[in-house]
Amino acid sequence: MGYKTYLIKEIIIYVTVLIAAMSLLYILTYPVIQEVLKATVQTEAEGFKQAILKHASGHGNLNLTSINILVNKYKASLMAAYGLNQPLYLKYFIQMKNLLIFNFGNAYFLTAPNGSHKVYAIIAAYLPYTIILFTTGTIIVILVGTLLGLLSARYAGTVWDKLVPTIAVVHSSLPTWWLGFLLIAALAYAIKIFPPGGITSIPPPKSPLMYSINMLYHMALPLIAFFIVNVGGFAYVVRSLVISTTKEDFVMTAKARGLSDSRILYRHILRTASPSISTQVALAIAGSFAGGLTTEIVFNWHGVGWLTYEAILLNDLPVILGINFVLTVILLLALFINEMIKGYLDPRIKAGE
Amino acid sequence: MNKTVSAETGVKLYVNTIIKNKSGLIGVIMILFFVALSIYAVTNFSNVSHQWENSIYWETYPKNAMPYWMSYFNPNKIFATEAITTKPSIIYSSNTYDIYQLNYNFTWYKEMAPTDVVFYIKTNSPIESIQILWIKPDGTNITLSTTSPVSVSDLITYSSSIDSYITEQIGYVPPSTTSQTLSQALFGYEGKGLLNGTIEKGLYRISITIVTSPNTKILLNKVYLEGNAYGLFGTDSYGRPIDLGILLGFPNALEIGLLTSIISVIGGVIIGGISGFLGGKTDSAMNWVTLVILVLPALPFLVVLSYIMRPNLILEALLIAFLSWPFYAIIARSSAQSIKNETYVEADKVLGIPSYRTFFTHFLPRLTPFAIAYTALGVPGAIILVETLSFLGLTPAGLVTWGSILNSAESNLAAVNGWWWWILFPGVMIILVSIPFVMIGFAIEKAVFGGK
Amino acid sequence: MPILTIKNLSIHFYTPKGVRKAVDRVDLELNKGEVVGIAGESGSGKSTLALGIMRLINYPGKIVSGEIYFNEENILKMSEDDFNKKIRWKKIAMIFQGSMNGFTPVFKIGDQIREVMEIHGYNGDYDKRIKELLNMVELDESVANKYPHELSGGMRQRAFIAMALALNPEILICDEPTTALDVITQAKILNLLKKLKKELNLSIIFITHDLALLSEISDKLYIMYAGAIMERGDSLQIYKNPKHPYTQLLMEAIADINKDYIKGIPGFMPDLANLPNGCRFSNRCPFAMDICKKKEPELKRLDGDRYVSCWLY
Repeated sequence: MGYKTYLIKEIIIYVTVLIAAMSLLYILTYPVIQEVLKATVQTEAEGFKQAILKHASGHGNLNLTSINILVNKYKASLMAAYGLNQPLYLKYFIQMKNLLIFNFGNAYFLTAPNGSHKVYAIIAAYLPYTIILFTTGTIIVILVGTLLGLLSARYAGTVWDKLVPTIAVVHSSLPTWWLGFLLIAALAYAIKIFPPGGITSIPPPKSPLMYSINMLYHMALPLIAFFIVNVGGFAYVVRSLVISTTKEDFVMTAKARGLSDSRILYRHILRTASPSISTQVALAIAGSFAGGLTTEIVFNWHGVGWLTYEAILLNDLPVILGINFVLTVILLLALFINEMIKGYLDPRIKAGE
Repeated sequence: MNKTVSAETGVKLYVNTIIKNKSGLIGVIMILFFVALSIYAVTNFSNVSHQWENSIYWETYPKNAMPYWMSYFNPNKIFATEAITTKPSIIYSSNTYDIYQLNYNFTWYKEMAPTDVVFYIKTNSPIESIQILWIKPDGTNITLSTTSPVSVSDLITYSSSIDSYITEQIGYVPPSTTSQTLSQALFGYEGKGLLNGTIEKGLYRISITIVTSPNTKILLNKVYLEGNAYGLFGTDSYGRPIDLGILLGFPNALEIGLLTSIISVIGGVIIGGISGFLGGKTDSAMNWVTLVILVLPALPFLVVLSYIMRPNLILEALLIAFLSWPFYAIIARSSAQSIKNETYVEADKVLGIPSYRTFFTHFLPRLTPFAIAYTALGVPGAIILVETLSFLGLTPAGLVTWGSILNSAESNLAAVNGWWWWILFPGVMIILVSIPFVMIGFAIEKAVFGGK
Repeated sequence: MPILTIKNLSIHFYTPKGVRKAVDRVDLELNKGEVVGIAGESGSGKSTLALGIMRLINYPGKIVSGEIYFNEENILKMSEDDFNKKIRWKKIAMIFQGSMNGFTPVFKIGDQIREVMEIHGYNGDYDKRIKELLNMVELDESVANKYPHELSGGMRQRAFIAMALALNPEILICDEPTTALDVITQAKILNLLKKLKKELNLSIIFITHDLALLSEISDKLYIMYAGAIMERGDSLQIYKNPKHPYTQLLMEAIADINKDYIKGIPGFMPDLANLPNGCRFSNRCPFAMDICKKKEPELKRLDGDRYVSCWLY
């Protein structure tokens, strides 16, 4: 099997996985949200009726039957707007088709900053902030984590070696949002070094340079929290990968060939372990977007995590579905790019093994 | 050599390894301690957890009090609540109403007024009117009255009386009146400087006159001079002690952490194990299912499901397990694949031993230590997820969790107001309860995988 | 003067179960152009001895005593850096049982051979030399552009031998170089080594558990048991007339097409962390006497090059 066939096969798998994942989300959430929406329609129709009755009492030219017809019409238009008058299977197929062509429809309640009701416009307005914050954070974590992991693997039995498992314990037991909460209390309110939240000051600075600096300043606390929580985990993974590679035969023969320890570590071991590290990087970046939900809420960082929460509180199903779809696509994309990078890094994969 | 026997001794070996490993032993001891705390919480405070959201229940507790041990650093400004009581005397009785009088004396030598004063008079029928005469050490006095008498009243109840007293003294209407300002008015020197923070020290006298219907009995009476320090970890804005909340959080955290981890690891090991063991088409199909769950954005997905389903503890554990088993399935699958290539498995095949037997004699025993390690390592993640959902306000009904305490800390602006104890201790508990599981997990992991 | 002389070498492993004496007071001599075979069961310390010569003993192992002279220079006294620069691979190269997995999987064969030449400062045309080496081990020149996984086990082993010869080493240590290969490939590799020895005047230390194989190639033979040398001498003489009871039993254990069963040696090798008093073979020896359990025999010289460590002589 050639590399190309291999890639095509991967793409087919990923698309089917995407559809299945979205179907699962739809089936698990829609029936409940439908009930909520029906209740919403009922209250809105009732409110509409009361308003007409109030209005009608002044004029007296509307009888109760015509009012009921009006209310029912209004109700029907709402039902149509929320898609409540179609059978479930039909809605499912329409929804899946629309998702796959990136047509998420209109939001029920939320709007984009420019006033658009389109779900893609809303997501497009918030997603960049999530990407900026968490890609920056993950890159810092990866760089420092890889370095720590290598040092720990190289200097077995020293302080470095002990350090990484210890900070890995921190990673496994510390919630980022709590650390963020604590840092806000300490460094934004008790000692006023950093802003307590938000993306920029209000009003935001006008010049692009000042705007970026202001945004970096607002990113500092969430980044610190993200870094402290995640660096240990990444370092631990790198350490384990490197140590398990070190046990392979070629490391001993490389040493016999007279290669220096650092050359063996940085050139041979790291290079051999790099496909596995690449997978970890892909998962870390894509995973951080979805996992940053609470961090965004705590730091009032208006990214997709924050948006998800708003949408959930408002029962805004199109937005919820849209965000989950986009996040899943990002994860699959990351995995796919990772497959290609791995193919490049590891000649054994390219051969289609 | 009989493999089944060696697997049994193998499990025994891992138990030994955990206990022999220093961090493993510390982990076991810590978990036993947490379990003991949980049992203590369930047996002694289960009724309190039902009252947790009932703010009246916590009325007499000091609000936003810092930990009591902080008073060690500054005893004159940080102090606990004092409660005083007296013997009520009936001063008038008729067939239409009774009048009781309650006289209290106390001395005050602190640098600061109490954060609030709470009057608690429990009677067997409603109080009809209440009037309080507050006499300061220098003899000046103030009368507090309210139009709606209740059995538990704090200074806010009497704010109209105190407000007019303040206005009379300082010459203008105070911009805002908090319990602290009202209390300062009761403890400051009369005149322009009433609210400047100086405290009159000495003997205070309180005389409370209540009118009740005939034959009413006063069952309990107390005056609380609310402090700003309470208990081991302080209190929140409703007066709920943080230490009590933390204690009530232990059983939930442990229960859901263990439950979730066990379900997801067992599920993952079985699915991944079978997948790796059988290989071929079954493997591809199971791998696909694993990938479907794996690519779901776990946290948003979980928040959506928790929000619309409002699950109880067990259902929440099942939801989290449903989203976490693929991680274990992937690892179990690759372990199963490597075990499959070992010679004794091939030997079984050659000898014609049925594959389900090989699965039970060779696979499960080999995957057991792996499963134990990942169960331990999975507990913290599960606990963190549950506390995260709680923090977002999605606590299973009727439970007190550390996340829910932190949720109310956020909505009551604890960070802005510097109520650090409300933020710090519940979070530290999440870490503390996670650490022993990670330590045990690492110890087993080292014994199982590192020993090669 | 031998090109390599080992005197009184001891290598111990400090394990939780005690000190394992993997190599115990071993002497060895290797002359220019000669093949010395070391034979023994697995766990007898022969691989540790080879790694000791390359100074590749890792924690918890340690060279506790002894000297190793390469052309009169004690290589155990050299600094790690010096040894890396002057001796390792340049003068003494080694091929391993796992040499087919000895190439880093992500680099091409040619690039790995080139890397070795680069770090050791080889003078000359690298490409030409790589081709020459591949020809020498009877591999196609295109192999240089292939990744290790694209070659068969036997081809990888040959490529590894090519890499071992890259810097014209004087000594080649072969630690079970053919064990993981099929019989036909085994024979081919063995013939290759014989050819190279002749053409390049290589001195070879050949380690194996397979006495039959050693008879094909070795000039001198050392029989190792539980970390110590039991018997040494001229190959042919030992084959014809094994003196030590262990050697005799080993010879009998060789699969022979004329015999209808293979005779094993009853019992187990003693725990290296807990060697018995007296002779270490005494618990399995059919000729064991009282003294064998009490006092350890020395490696006694019988005649010429022939030494044996046994109370029978």
